[in-house]
Amino acid sequence: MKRLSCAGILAIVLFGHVACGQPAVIQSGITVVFRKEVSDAEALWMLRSYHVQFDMIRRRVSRLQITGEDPALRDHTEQTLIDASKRGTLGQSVIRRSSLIPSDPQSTSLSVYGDMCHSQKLQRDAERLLPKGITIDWRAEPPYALLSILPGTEEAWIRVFLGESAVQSAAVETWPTSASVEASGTVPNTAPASPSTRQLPVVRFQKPQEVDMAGKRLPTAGMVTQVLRTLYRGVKPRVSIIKSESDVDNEYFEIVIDGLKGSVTNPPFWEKFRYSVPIFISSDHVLKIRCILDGQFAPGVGNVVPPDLAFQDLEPQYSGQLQDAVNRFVVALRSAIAKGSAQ
Amino acid sequence: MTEGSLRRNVSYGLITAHFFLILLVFLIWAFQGFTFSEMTTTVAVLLPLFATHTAAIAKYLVKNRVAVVDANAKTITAEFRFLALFPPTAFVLLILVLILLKAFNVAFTTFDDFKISLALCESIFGVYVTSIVTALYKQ
Repeated sequence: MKRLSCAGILAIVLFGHVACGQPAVIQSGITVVFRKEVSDAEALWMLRSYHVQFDMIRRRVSRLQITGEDPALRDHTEQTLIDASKRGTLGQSVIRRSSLIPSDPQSTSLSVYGDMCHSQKLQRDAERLLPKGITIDWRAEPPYALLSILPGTEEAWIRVFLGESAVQSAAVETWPTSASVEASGTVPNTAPASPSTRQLPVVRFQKPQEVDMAGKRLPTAGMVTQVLRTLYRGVKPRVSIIKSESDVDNEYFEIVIDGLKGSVTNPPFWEKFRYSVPIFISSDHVLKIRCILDGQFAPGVGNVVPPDLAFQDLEPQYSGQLQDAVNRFVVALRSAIAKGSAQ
Repeated sequence: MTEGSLRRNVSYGLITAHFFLILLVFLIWAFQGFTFSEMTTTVAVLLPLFATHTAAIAKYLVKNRVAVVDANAKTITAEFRFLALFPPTAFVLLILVLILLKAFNVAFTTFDDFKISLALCESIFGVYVTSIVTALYKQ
């Protein structure tokens, strides 16, 4: 089926600033471990709000614990898995030795990075490579960021970040030498560091009062759903969240609305809309929200909603009306976000 | 029942059904049961289904437009009467049901399924209705 989209694009500039004034002499680091439900956008937003230089945000990490009685066999298994990841046998994942020491003396630990690292297929592929007598335990780890900070400010920064609801833990990091290049699925900080070499006192690193929490500004799928229900009030549509921020790829919402009649079509046919709302931060550090609206319609007398295959694209016949609908939605969403931020 | 009265009944039935079904499709379109293209396609499929039969009937009726009292009219058998009435009635009712099922989104997943069902209906009853119409009206 031809899939046409009516993209009503209104960039919502919520809050922007330039990450300036960062010291160039970076000699220390901390690791901030986020809670699992934190999206890339939210993590980025929070880190930028602190004007901190971060080397990466890693969204997908798994811990692989290898258990077996024979230490030589465990080492062999580790090497086999690492070699397999280098050869590309295990998808696009990157497997490295972990600095984490398991409590079980019969276990060793590996770290798995990359988009595939939580997938069951990767786990099955890895299990095929295991020799007899070896078992592996695969655990998804929360996302984390590596931050570069001034020496001596570690404790102050840890205190600041532990006050964030999005942060699970923060600790002093022993810098891995290959930290910035070791894996895919990272979001590097492209902002250049300031040439200033001035050492700032620790007290200057307190949480800035004017910066709001990111979570208050980012719309949630629940907020988007509420906006849609308000927009279509009176016609009682069925609103289904197909993909929300709590999903693995957590970068956009996808919401399907059906059970509508005549909101766009004239004469009134059955309608179905798919709102895709990606959220991203542009290169100029501005949070933007876009909406892509895809709609279909189907004829039918009575109250029985037509089957999915009976629907046909609203475009190009109703392109103008679709554009109006998406504009109304984005304006309503902007109002809802502004209202939420004001509270 | 004589052959003449049976012929009359079949004539009224088929011609009325023909125009009624087409009118019904237009009405359903007016109430958003069909899109415009679906409506025109449905009419285009329905027309040939009936046209061959109604054309033969119309030709016969035009040719025999003067009423003649036939004192020697023969009574037809019950079997032929059944054969002349049941298949056309079932044919019309089945098409009516198919149209309503589609309009109310009860049965068909796509419009193509509906079109195929109409064509299948014609295949099932076409032989019977054609033979009946031929027997009654081709002279």
